[in-house]
Amino acid sequence: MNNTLQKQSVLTVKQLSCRQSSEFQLENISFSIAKGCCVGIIGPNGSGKTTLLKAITGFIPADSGEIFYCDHPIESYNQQALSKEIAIVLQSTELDQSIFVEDYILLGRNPYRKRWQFWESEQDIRIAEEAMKITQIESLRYRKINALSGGEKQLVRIARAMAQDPKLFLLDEPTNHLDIAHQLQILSLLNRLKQEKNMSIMIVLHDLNLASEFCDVLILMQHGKIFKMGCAKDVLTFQNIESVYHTLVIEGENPISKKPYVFLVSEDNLKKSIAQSKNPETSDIRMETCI
Amino acid sequence: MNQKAIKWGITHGILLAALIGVCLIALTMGTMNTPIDQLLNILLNKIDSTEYTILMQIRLPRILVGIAVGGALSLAGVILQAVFRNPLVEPYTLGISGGAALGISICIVFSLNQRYALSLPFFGMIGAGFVILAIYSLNAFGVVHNIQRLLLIGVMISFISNSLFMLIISLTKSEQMHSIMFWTMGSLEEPNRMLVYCLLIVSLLGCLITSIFSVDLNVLSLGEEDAFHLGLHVERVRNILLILASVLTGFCVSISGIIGFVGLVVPHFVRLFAGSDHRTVVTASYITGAIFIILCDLLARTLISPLELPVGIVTGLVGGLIFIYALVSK
Amino acid sequence: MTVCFSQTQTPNDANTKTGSITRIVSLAPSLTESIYLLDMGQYLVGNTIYCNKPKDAQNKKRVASAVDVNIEEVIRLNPNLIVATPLTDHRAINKFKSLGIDIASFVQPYNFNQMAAQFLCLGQKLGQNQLAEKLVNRTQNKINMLTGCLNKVNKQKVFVQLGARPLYAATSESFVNDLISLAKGINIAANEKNGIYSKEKVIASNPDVILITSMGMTGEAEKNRWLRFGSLKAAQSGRIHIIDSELFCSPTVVSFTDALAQLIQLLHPQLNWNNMHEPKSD
Repeated sequence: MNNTLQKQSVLTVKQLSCRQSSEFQLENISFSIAKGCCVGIIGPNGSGKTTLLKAITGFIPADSGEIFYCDHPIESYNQQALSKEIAIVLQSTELDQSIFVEDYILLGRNPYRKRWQFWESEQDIRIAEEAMKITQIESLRYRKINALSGGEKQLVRIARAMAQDPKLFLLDEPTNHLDIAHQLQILSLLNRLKQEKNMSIMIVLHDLNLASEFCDVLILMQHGKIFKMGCAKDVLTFQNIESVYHTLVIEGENPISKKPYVFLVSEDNLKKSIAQSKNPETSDIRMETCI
Repeated sequence: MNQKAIKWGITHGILLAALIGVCLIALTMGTMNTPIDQLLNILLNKIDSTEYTILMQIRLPRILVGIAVGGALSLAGVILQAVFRNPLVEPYTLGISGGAALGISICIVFSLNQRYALSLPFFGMIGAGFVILAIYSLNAFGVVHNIQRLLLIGVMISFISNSLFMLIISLTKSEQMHSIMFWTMGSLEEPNRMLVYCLLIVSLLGCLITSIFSVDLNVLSLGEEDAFHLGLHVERVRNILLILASVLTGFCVSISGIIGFVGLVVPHFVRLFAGSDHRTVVTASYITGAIFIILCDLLARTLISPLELPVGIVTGLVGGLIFIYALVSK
Repeated sequence: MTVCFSQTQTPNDANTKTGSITRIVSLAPSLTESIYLLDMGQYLVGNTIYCNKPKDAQNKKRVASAVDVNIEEVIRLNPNLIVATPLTDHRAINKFKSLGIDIASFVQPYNFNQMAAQFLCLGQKLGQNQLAEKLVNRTQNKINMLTGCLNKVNKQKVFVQLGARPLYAATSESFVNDLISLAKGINIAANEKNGIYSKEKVIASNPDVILITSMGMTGEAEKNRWLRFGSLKAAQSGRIHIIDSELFCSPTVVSFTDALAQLIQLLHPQLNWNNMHEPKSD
């Protein structure tokens, strides 16, 4: 399913399949992302979201299919060149070493290091500084990464990926375990990157509403396949969510941004409200949102 | 970066000065102590004297071997700790020394060391190399990104080599047992000058190569997944470094026997004082390892003079105590 | 006479009649040799895998290694005497005791006097008192004769190397030491305990002679290494010799004088003896 003109695509995936033993982790994935687009990947646990990201970077080898980065086959990029283009922020990255934040972020400059280069160049330092500025973690620079809070660690991870100066940014559930303030902070940061640097972003999210709010395109995955891809309105429908998540929702709208919003419904409450609607004395249908 | 480079220079300057100081002390102390001011006099004027012989033909080679072995074992420790992201890993946990010991015990049991004097180191390297090959090929069939399995295999091989080693010991005559037992406790004594120079060259080369890979080690210690995504050829770098660590260990073990603890304690200590940046840690550990072993050897040959203790016992005790103290006080 | 062994049975057995010991098991090579010297070789029914001297000993049943004893085999041989050393497995010894087998343990001797006393004890045990005394006296006389020739010689400083890598020296607890003092030599390592000896100390002590026990090819290699130390007296004069380890480290009552004679020649070459200078035998 193409979203925009092939000419401006930053990433095109054609019939990508990955297998482990006899099971398909990804089956027949095809999509294309335009430059400067923010794509949200949603789906239940085990649907292959993280696998998709790792397959794009090449960490998980593909069994069949093709990946094109900026219209060139991705195999034509060696690993070092690719890491100058694509940066990934993973959940599994442990920040348990005794390293200073600023040194950790400087490691993100590794793809640009020449063979005999021992110390970081001026440009390396400048770009790392920028990364810290844009993530607003300059105050943390002399702290050790293993002494940071969850939210701070996440910002540091993003800053390190930023130091790679990528054109395509992949993030795997960056808002997990974060309070709402940090969640919004990160997503607004990504938004800024998209607008100021024309960066393309692929982000895996659990929260459907956050995805709807911040992403241009949504990919809904199930069992390693793309169930539905498109704008939020097309993807976040009652039927789609019921098929994939086996959960009932009520479609709604964010009152400020007017973007699609889904309200979660528990079965008990649904039964209650149906019973009440049959009773003419109650006027409101109560709904509870549970996150 | 200027500031970092200055700090690097200062740290290494201090360490080198300390090394030279320790070498001088070790040169002048022993069963008979030579005052330092007489040192130059003896070296230049009294070439035929007893003192000269002791200084140049006994103490100096021991110091050279100490530098080479202390440095190489520390390097191996640094590499292994970075690759396995585990501060408790050293050449011995990977079973490499076990393999070397096995090779050497086979050599002694068949009395080959009595026919060819150089066969002992040779068999040691073969034993170590065999273990490396085993670990390497076992890993080649496994998944690319699985380091924990490597570590487990290493521990397993270590156990197996040790058991075989014990078996061989139980079958040997008592005279040979003496030789084997003391070899397993280490000694910096190596009468063959050629071997000493070879060892020194290999050790220094090892230091050079490892420091070239310092930044790669920094990236690698983030984890293989992260290192991959930062553009590092993880498998290639890891394999080169592991082979290097094994060659260094095999060489050291085959010449000076089993000296434990150095690869564990020295890098740990260096990190406590100089941070975790491998650009510093690699070379600083080399020099610190040399200092450590020379001091331990000094203790080993002066504590119960004129009898000597095997140096491995001293490194084990001293290293162990320092290690525990550092852990407790941190 | 010094007590030289411990035994299990009541003192009655101290006077064993000749002929009552007919099946002997020996658990040490030195004891095997002594048994043959006492003319009781034909009654030896079992020994260790290291008992290779004299040649006939190799034909006997092997029932033990240096420290390990095959208890079953020994019992099957139905010995009336077992001779052992403190090195032998204690559990085996206790087992034999509990079965009522006569067992005698002989401590390792380190000089001629100890060795002689033990030999006499063993002789008594085997009922060969006369032969034992004769052999001991003969050797003693030889020793006296040999040392009698040494009145005018200077004492020589000696270093005896027993092992290489690590360096082991012959200390006071060795036959070599006894031989050296009899041969008017000074063992520079005499006062040390057993352990790794410092090469530095050897060079600092600067002995007149260095003796290296035969260790196959390593012996030659070690000799060459010592020769390279320019400041060593022994290297300059070339007085570095390889000696037979069996003869010097574990001599018998009879071979002791062979060792002594060789040693005297090595330490005092100016005496100009031919090989095997022997007094007339009695």
